[in-house]
Amino acid sequence: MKLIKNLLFVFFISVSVFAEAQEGDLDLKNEDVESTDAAFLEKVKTLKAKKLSDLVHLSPFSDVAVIQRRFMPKTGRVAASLSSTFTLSSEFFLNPGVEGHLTYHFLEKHAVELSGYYVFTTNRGVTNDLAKIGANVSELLPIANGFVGLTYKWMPVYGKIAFYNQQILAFDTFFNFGGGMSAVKRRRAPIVWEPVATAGIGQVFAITRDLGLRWDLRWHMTIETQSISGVSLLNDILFSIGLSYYYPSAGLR
Amino acid sequence: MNRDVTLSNRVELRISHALRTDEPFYSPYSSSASLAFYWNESHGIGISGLFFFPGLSSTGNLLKKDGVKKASTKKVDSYFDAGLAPAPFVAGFVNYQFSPLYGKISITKTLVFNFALYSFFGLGVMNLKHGDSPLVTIPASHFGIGQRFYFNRYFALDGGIDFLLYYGANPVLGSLKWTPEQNAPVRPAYSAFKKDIFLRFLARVGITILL
Repeated sequence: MKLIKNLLFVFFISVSVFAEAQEGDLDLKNEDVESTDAAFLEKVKTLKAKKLSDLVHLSPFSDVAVIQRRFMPKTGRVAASLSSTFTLSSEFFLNPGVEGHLTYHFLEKHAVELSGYYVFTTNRGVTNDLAKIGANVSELLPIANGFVGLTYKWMPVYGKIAFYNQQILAFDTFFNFGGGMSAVKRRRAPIVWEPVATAGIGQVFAITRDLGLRWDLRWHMTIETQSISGVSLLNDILFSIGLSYYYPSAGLR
Repeated sequence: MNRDVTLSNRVELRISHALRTDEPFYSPYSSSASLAFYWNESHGIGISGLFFFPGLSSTGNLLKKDGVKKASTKKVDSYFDAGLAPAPFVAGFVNYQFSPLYGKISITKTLVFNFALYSFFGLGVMNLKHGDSPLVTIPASHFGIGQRFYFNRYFALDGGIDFLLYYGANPVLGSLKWTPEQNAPVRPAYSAFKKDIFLRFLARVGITILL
């Protein structure tokens, strides 16, 4: 029992020494808060040292686990995000707007997200040029002005990036899948709510442990039932960039 | 920090396919290739070329074949054929490339990839194709940002968002429109088109080879 206590003591001292030594390194192999207990117990079971003096024979990277905590842990936290957004796929209109997300992370890599956006609409130059020659397309083409929906968020990719080999930034890459309702309208026509499926990709760069810079690229596929040619598919690609705030604070958990 | 993939004094070949998501009339697809030399880990210079796929976009075809319908009557009011106007064909640029961010990512704790964020800015020319007439050359610029995911020291998957800026012929011309009672128009001369500045967005994906 005493030997185990001594081994544990040496183990924790080693962990703290190596964790400090790794500051500035981009090693990601042992980085995860979820596997701490399992990895620790496994290491204790397979220790080569039978007495305290044997510790000098241990190899740092094969016999001693180095487990770092994620810079921005997610499990059990709620994130509120606000972004500016614009539609990339609209050939005839400019659609700047705002987008918001409320995310609950039930696991480190899995979350559910309530999302919504609203975009304003102005004509592109080509639309005004066509109207001048009598080909007014703005009344015919539908615009998805708004969206409310629920998505599943999967964050399988975790990384660190170095700026000029100096400052290190942690980030997550995520994917979204889900659905909801889109507010579709044509000029001078009332808004019609239509079903929509959505898929997306994005990244969150950790500015602090509670605040992140987030960008999203989302594809919305709206089933439009009110089009002139009957039922059709309205595709929209939106790019947004903004900030995410995570609660509760990582330092207080 | 140790870098597994270095850029200094290496030549980079990039082959990409891109989608112009905001192109109203012409085919949104284009392919590009670029060659760059990095004189240190962050800065490089190179050349690139773009080829724009011919033909009309779905909206361009809709305006030409189905016409512009009146919302109230749902009857065809007029047709418009952008295919009779000059369209982007090829472009060439001299580029400056800047790669200040380098990192590593872990995918579900099993795979670790090296990756880099980069940007580029290019100045050059674009050729417009106008029927059988000789190609018309106009000034253009190509710039954007991207990410590279390295499989090893030589190969990477590349993706990014670019912008294409050019000063060329505006395809919207009154004589390219006709009503159901009229015959389709003939191709106007290049000089009949008004000149404008255009900014197009490109979503790009491709591969990078480091030599």
